[in-house]
Amino acid sequence: MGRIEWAMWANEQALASGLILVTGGVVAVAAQFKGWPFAAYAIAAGVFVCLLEYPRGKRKKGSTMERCGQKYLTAVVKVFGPITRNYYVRAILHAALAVPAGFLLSTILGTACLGIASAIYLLAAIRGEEWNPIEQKPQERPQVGGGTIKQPPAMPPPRPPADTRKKPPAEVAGQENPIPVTIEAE
Amino acid sequence: MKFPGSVLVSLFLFVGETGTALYLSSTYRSAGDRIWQALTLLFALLPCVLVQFNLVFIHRDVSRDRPLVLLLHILQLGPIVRCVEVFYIYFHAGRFEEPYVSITKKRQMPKDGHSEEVEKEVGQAEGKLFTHRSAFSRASVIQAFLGSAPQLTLQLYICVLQQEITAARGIFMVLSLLSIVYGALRCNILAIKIKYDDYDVSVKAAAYLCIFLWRSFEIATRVVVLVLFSSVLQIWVLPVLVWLGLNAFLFWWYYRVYDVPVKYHYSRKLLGSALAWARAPAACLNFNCLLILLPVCRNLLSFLRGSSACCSTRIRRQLDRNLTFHKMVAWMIALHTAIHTIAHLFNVERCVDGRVEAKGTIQAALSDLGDKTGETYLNFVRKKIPNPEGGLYVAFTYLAGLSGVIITLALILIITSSTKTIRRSYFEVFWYTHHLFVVFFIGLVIHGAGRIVRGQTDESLKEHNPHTCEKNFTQWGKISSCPIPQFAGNPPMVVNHPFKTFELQMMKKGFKMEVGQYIFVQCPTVSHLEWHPFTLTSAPEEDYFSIHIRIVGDWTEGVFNACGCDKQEFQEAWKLPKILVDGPFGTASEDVFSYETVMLVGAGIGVTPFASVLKSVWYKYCNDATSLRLKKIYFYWLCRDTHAFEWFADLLQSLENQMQERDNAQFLSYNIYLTGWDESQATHFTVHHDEEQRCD
Repeated sequence: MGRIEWAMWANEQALASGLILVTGGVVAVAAQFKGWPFAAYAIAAGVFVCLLEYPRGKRKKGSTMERCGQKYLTAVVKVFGPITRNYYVRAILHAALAVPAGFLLSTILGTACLGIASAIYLLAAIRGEEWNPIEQKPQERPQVGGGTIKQPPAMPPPRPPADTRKKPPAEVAGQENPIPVTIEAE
Repeated sequence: MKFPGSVLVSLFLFVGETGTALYLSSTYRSAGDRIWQALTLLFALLPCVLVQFNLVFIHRDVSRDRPLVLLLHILQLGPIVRCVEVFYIYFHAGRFEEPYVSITKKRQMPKDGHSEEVEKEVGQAEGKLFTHRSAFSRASVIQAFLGSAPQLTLQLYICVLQQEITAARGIFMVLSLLSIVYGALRCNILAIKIKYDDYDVSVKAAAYLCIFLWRSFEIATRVVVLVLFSSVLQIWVLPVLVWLGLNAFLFWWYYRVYDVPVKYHYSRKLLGSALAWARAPAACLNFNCLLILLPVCRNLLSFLRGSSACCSTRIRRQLDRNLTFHKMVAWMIALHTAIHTIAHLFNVERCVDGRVEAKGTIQAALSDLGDKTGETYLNFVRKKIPNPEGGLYVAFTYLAGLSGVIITLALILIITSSTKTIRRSYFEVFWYTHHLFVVFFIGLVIHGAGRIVRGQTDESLKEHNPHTCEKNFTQWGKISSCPIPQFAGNPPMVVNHPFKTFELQMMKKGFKMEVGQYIFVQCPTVSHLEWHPFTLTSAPEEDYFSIHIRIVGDWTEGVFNACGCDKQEFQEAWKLPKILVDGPFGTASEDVFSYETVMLVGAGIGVTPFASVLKSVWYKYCNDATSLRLKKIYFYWLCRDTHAFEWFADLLQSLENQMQERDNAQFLSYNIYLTGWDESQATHFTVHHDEEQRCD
């Protein structure tokens, strides 16, 4: 298994906290509890945290499963460069976001969860982890036969042995390719 | 006399089915299918035994000296011997003269709206045949529904699983189907005969045929559908469905427990439906937390897998799905936690608002209860801190709030570390965080220990009806019809009375008492050897029984301390000591209801049975005053001073109030003689005798 990347867990925890903040905030605002402006703030903070934490960072070792549809948010988060890459910043940011929600009972659970996420991010930052975006690789067609076969066989079976079969493709007598065959660039 | 054809049919079906069942079970045994064999035998022999019982019961001739018949019944050959009897009676019917005849009067079926009554003579033989026929028809019904129906389903299921119908199974299924149809047919005919009992009904053959065809198609199709459905069903769906069903049932049931009864009427006034919405998922949480640890007990699962005697391999293989079940239950716990928490957010908000904000509303009146001495509180929030700080204060100073926050945090940490990414990549994080379940369970156990949910006590409900009294909440205590309501957490156990008396209320399943009886009580924490008698002071109509104990010696003082009566705050039920009770034993006061006028004389401690008597009289009076023989009670009470029996004085006073309300002030007339007066008390009373004080 190797070394643990704490940022993975912190990411899950922070995402969950965002959802809990939103839920608590919605309940308090909808029912108009006393102090509901804090809850309105909690909704905003929760949405922001969810959006920030949705794209998973790339793991140092091994492959990372992307969350469904995260590439759009990755593009946005990538733009901020070092602010989002550094986990110290994230730890402090989450701690700061969590505090105002702690003044209302409905959202205090979100505060506690976000605080824990912030602590785990701090631990990740101390261990030198960083958030790297998962890049999209262009689609690669797998090479068949190591690149030796570029054309379908010219003659129908039974075919003469290979050395007598070496004819330039343009002079093929027996078969015409109905669809032009292009040679793939690698 | 009609030929007893139905008896023959019943017998044929009975013998045919049982015989084929035995043969089939022997084939299953030789094929090694123990479960099929066991089930086939069960569905064959169970109705067999019941049929024997039925026949014996209807004929009621066990006590007549016929040991051979009884023996044959025990050997499960009852129907055969009864059939022999039937034919004996039938064939000998005309030979002898009947010693007596019975006359039946039946109406003919109406023609042109007119039906006439016809008398018929029924001979003894015919009467006996009638009894036999009805016994056999009942036996057929039992056989059909308790035996053939499950048997047919089982055999058809086996056929579908094994993809073939053997000859024996085919014949057996046909016989079973015929048996069920015949049983259903007999039920139909019985229903018709009962409905038209006054009439002379004869069911024609065409009707029989119609009913037979109808029933056979109906039953055959239903059984086929049932079997096909259950054979397609994966076996693991069943426990999941059962589990979901139990969850739904618990939710609905406990929702109604808190939403319907009048006991929680005022709690609902204060909190709205959020109370029920919080308690229903709490019950589901209890159930699911019970289940969640079971699928991950590895030793238990290994044991179950190894014990091959337990179930078939198919069932044991479902044990492989234990982690799936664990995850399902975990998600259900998360869902119910969410509902529970949100509902309690509303509860806390409303409780604090009721205490602080609401002025002049019923919520304010309810929340103010408990401020004065002698009142019990309904709103557990006592400090007047406004929201939102009030809510936070409540959540973190009460045991329920603090433990709730901690265990929810533990649950969230467990869930976030259990996602597939974390589990696959960093198993140790998942594994060690999951051990927070210990924190979760400890917190869960103590979460409810504070007994914050309060309902109106039964005694208070008798005096103060929430439906009528809720409108005039400003006058509680000032008008006699609505005294101040009293509340308690569930259930009330120890009630402190003034002047060194305390009441112990207990409930025990199956406990029955009469008025004025006494019980022996032992408290092992105080002494293992001492049993002390106490008169029961509660009435038989109440759902608990109570004794009032006055502290006079070391044993009573020991019980007082063990029950924690010396402490001010309410005692949790689990802290109370174990009490052993022997009784109840009878006394003379049980005769009080047999007379119209009674005179009750109680001296000192001897007044306690009358508490029970008077309460019981009161209940009976409330229930149905006309059925009570008692019309007048003269009650004489002699004691040194009333201090020791303040609780009884209160009871007398409340009874008197109720009587006055019901315009029957003459029902109870009581005289109290205090023998322990001194001069100062006498002067005190003379000065204040105009005031309404009865008992100091």
